[in-house]
Amino acid sequence: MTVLWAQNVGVNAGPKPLISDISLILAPGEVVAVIGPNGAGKSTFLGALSGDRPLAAGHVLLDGQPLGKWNKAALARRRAVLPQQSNVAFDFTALQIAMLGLMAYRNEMREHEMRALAERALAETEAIGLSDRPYTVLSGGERQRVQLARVLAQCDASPGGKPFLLLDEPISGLDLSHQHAALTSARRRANRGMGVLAVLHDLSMASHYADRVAILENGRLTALGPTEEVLDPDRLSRVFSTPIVRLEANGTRAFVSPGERP
Amino acid sequence: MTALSIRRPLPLFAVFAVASVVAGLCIGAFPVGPAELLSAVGLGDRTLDDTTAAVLYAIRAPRVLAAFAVGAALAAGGAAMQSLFRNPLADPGLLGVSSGAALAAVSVIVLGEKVMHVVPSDLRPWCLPLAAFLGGLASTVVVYRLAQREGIALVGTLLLAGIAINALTSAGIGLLVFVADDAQLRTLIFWTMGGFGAVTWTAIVPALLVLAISVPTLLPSAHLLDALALGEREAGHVGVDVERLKRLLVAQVALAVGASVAISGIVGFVGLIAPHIVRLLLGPSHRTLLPAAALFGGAFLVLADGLARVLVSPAELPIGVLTALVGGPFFLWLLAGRARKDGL
Repeated sequence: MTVLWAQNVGVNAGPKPLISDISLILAPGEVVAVIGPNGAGKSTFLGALSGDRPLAAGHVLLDGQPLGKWNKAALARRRAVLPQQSNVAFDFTALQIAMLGLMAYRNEMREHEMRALAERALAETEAIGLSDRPYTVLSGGERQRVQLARVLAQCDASPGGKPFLLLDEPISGLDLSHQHAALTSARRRANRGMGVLAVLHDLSMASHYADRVAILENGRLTALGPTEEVLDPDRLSRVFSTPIVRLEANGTRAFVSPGERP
Repeated sequence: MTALSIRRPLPLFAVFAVASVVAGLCIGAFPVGPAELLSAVGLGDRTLDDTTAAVLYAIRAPRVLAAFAVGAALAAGGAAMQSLFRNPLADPGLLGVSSGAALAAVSVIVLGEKVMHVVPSDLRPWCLPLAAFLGGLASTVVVYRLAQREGIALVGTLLLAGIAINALTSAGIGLLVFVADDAQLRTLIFWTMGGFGAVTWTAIVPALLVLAISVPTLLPSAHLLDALALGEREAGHVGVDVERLKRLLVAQVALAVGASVAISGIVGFVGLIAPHIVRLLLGPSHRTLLPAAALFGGAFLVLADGLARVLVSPAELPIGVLTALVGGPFFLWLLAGRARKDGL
């Protein structure tokens, strides 16, 4: 079964459970948005899905195999992960960083092919102009676009296969146009058969780009379903403990939290 | 800081290395001319007198080879350590790897006599490099365990762990000084200050063999070291078996540093200076960094050893003192730059 499958997953920090009993199937061709308040366990869940966090309970299966049984290089060809923020040691250039995404393909790709693929991904995240600049001098948003290009290149190199892409808050530091560009990149790949799971804070973006939405609260999955059903203003208001209203304009939906001015 | 775009950097470094070796063979209390040197390798038409031949073959050649090998090993080992710790300040000397190796080696010198007779005489030259390797390995593992938190080595903890290990080992060496006899004392001091004065072919062959294996085998890992710069977790995501790589690197660094210490005692700062200068010139990619730093470090130590021989001729400066004179200020300068930039 070519799915990424979390079965009753639980992760603990010491004796304290961070997430428990989460089940979710990420299928090829879909975008799943994971939303929820701060500290709900979204990043922990993504860590469990990517194999970074040891599981206290349950299993994560990729193509029917537990993640622990996968060889690292083979796993890198089947899925890419974008963590929330990454520091890079030493003055590697943006292009070098993007090319590192192709590590698992070093033996079958030539240098110029790897370069072309990395440059295409950088162009897609509008970071091609940063190619020759050291990563360490880039701004937060620029770094995020370079790291996104790295994982996009990693996905695109997968020959014919349709890898999974896990994104942890991929648009948190981006301006609006780059937010759309980033999620469009993910959406386009899902339309070609890749499975994408993204932790998002922006409900309007989730509504616009996701097929399904999962809500995490206090380490538990409290809703999972088609975007329109799950993104219900009453439910959202309760989950985020603040009034949230849905606006419709030009055929799309936006979620607004009016808040209260003291 | 962007890298200069030198199109073929490695040949340049190789030329520098060869030039330093020629200089190292020629200079000293007994000067040898370039024409005599050419004749010695069969390219000239002069016949060498016995003294010149003896100086070249029995004294200078092993000494220059040893200095080059140690410099190359410390530089490449330093570069590998910096990648492992994701930190350009990691240096085998500063982090106590060298002093751990030295303590073990000195223990063999002082205490080993009592047990050495049970070791077959053919294997005795191997005891020192082996002990130095184990000492270096122990220090590396301790520093790594202490300073590493979730794939990030905290500079503060790293340097403090180095200070602690250096303090412990100097206490250990102090104890050995206390129990050593006069002859042992001289050897002991040589170890802690570093030098190539005692180098002979028979003494260095085992350690050179260890270096010949541990240093060039770093090269196939070059692209993995690049990926490590992304972070351990991220390196895993792009397909690197990080745990395996870390074990391999720790063993290679301990072997390289241990064997270096077995040859020359503690020679500090080469592992810090050489990779740093090469990174400034050529950028951080390990495919060029490792060989270029090795060539540069080797050349640097050959020239430093040449200087140590001629500065106070006919006596010799301990080379560890010389590299510390250059490296200490260099390290302070690096530290000041980093402290300004991001408070360490």
